[in-house]
Amino acid sequence: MNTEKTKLKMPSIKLQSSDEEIFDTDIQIAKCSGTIKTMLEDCGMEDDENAIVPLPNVNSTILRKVLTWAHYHKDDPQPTEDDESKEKRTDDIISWDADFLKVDQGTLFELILAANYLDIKGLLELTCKTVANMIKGKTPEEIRKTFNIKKDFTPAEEEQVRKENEWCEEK
Amino acid sequence: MSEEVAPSVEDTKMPEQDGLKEKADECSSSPAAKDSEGSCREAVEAKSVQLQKEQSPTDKVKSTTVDINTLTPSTPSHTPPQLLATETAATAPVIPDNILSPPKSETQTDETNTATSTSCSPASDGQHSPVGEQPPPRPTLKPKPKPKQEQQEETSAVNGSIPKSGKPLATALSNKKLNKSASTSPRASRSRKPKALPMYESEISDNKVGIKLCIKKSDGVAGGDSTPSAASPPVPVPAATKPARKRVRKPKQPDSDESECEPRKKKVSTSSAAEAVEGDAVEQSVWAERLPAEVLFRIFEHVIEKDGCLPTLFRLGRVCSLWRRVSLTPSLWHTMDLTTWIKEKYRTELKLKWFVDNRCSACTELNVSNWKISDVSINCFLTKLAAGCPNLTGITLSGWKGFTSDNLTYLVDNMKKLERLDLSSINLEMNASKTAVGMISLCNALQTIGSRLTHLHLAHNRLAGIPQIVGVLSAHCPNLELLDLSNVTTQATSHGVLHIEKLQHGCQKLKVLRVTNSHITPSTAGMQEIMDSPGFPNLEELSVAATTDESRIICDDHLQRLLKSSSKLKLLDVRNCTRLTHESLIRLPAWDIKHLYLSGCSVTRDVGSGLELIASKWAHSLIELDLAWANVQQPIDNALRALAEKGSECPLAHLNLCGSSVSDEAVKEILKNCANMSSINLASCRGLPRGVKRLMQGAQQLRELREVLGVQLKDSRSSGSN
Repeated sequence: MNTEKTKLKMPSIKLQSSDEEIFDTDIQIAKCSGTIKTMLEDCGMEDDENAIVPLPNVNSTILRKVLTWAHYHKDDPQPTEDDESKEKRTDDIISWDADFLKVDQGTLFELILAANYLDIKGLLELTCKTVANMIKGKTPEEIRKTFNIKKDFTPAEEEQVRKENEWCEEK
Repeated sequence: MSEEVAPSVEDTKMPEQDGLKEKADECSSSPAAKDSEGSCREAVEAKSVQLQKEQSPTDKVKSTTVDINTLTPSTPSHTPPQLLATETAATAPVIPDNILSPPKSETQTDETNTATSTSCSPASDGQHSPVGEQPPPRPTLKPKPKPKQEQQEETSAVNGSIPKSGKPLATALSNKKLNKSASTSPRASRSRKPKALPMYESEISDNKVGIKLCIKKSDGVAGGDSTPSAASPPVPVPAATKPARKRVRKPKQPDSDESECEPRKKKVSTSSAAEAVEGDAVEQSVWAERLPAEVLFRIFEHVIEKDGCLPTLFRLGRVCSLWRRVSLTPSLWHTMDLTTWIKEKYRTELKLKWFVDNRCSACTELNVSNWKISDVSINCFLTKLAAGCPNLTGITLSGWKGFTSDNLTYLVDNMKKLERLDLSSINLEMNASKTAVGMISLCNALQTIGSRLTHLHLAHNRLAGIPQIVGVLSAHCPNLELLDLSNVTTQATSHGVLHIEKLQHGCQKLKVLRVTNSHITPSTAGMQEIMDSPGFPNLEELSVAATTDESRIICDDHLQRLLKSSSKLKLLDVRNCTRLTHESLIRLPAWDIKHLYLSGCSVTRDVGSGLELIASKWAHSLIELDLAWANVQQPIDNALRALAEKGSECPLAHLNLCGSSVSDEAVKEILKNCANMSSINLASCRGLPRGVKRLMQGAQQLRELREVLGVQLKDSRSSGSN
């Protein structure tokens, strides 16, 4: 009830990115973020035309991308709370999403953090799949290279890693 | 020729000599890992050379070699002989394997619709070997080729005979086919047919737990009558194995250290890792530093989903500290194939316990086949397992020769979620009263598992009381989906009677039934009983292939009873069922058979056979068709034309015409019209011109074949397939 009223009354809210840019956003789109949804509901901001939701962890570039994604997917069926049992597939990324994620690694990383922070399940799933696809079939060395990761094992870890490497059938 | 032989002799020889010395020391050491093969071999060879010089003239050497072969049915020895045996066919024997193996790739094709041909074999081997039934099919195929080889080249005797003749002679001579099927299977067979089947299995059934292992064991078993258990497993790589043992000892020490140290290390690692990260923070990638662990966990879940748990988690854990910590999250380690991914020489008791203690807490699927665990330690392992892996739903224990009925009872009593049980290759040496696959032991265990049971592998065992076992299954296990009784031997015919209708009444969900190459006879049944039976409405895979010796068993009547309501059948393997005619095959209720293995059936031998009808009935669905050694030209040609008529819609990808009397015209028709072909075996086809009589695999070779035969593929899109 409450939600429907709000929808009719005021379809949009304001989101403020970390660099203080304001995004006028349809409230239903904004609510694909669990974080924003909770904030709105908990703080009773839904009826306040001029309420500004601060998102200190997301900059404007990323927030714009996130909102673009949310806009495109606004009609998607809501994922159920616990769909852990659902089969996980990494090859079912639709082409729009694939294009959407043709971004540099830095942006991809920020998107993941944003999706995680904003609690947008669909986007988080999508970005994680994308990263998973970058990892698949790669050796540790190739993975480090791909993500520019430095080996930072402690000596104890190093030793254990070395041993496991020894047992393991493939490199 | 001689040159080739010599090396193999050395290899085989070496192991023995080394083995003799070492046997006393270690009875249960694990064979060498593949990696170390190379180096080990060199070392071994060198040693062998020395030994030879010291010990004896070449004659002696040879004699020992023979023994060795017999003792350990080594893959090397087996395959080489074949190769050497036939010149033209020389490629042929090898080819069959390849040909058969492609089936796996086919399955892949099935699933993904992508072209398979190029690299199927290597990848498929590792991954799919699991399917248990695989061994049987291979055997069947082999038997045939060999006879021909013999016919064709008597000269092959020297080279070829060595492997066969060794000690096994008694068995080998009496029934080479059986021997081969059973013993050869480990490697050669595996690569051949098994692949196809495994691949297929993956398509239809969830459980990927391995028959591979079974195969290995069978090899070991076949050869291993005289040899200790240790000797048998090595079979695949005999030469490498033994040398490896020596080296194994050193590694073992680390094991013990690990088991103790590991827990500590873990704790340390988390804290120290954090420190390390701080220190290196400046340069470290965000992916290794700022990525929230729960997000990384999700990513890993996705990676595992496709690549499988084991090699992947090891890899991920070697990237950096954060990734390692996340990769150690227990819930990621749900499918533990410790046989495929742990090098053989590290498959020790200590390591196994370490895994159970440290990695298996959320494990649901555990494959520890062919781990060399002493009888005493099995108890300890099971206790740990019961305490540490409460969610285990599937376990593969194939090759655990010391697994007793008490062990089995403990297992099923304590693993409350167990659904899939693989007890292949447990008791080939038979001690009926104690073994876990004894009749009473099995019946009790099956009752305990009851309706939970979905997969049961009993392949490569000597079983008693099949009627009783089937009785328990039908009475207590309504959810059974897979029953593998391949390569089962029995003491007496009465022990091996399979009551078809009873099983049909009790196990309506059965999807996979394998009785390949087994001493199992379908029951007789009255008309009323047959009428009343609901059949297996969900059956997708039936393998009743036989070596030529058992071929008499299955007849049209049996097949019709088994498949009376199996409209979903996807795979039918009836190779060498010489009593089967087109009568039953044409009438099968299956709509879409994808994999059909008919070589050796009378369908492929009768002038008036309905091969054409069979082909046209499933031309729309057949992906793989095996007509090897079919010796009536007209029916084959007509069958191939029936397939070719489907044109580009024909999904056929793998065609085995090895040794058949197919005409070149019919082959051209196929090549012209079937755009999805990715392998065709034309070895030893008398009716074909020189230069094409071999296995053609992959887009490149098929293109060449088309050029040689002067035909062009009608459908241009085929070029895109590969």
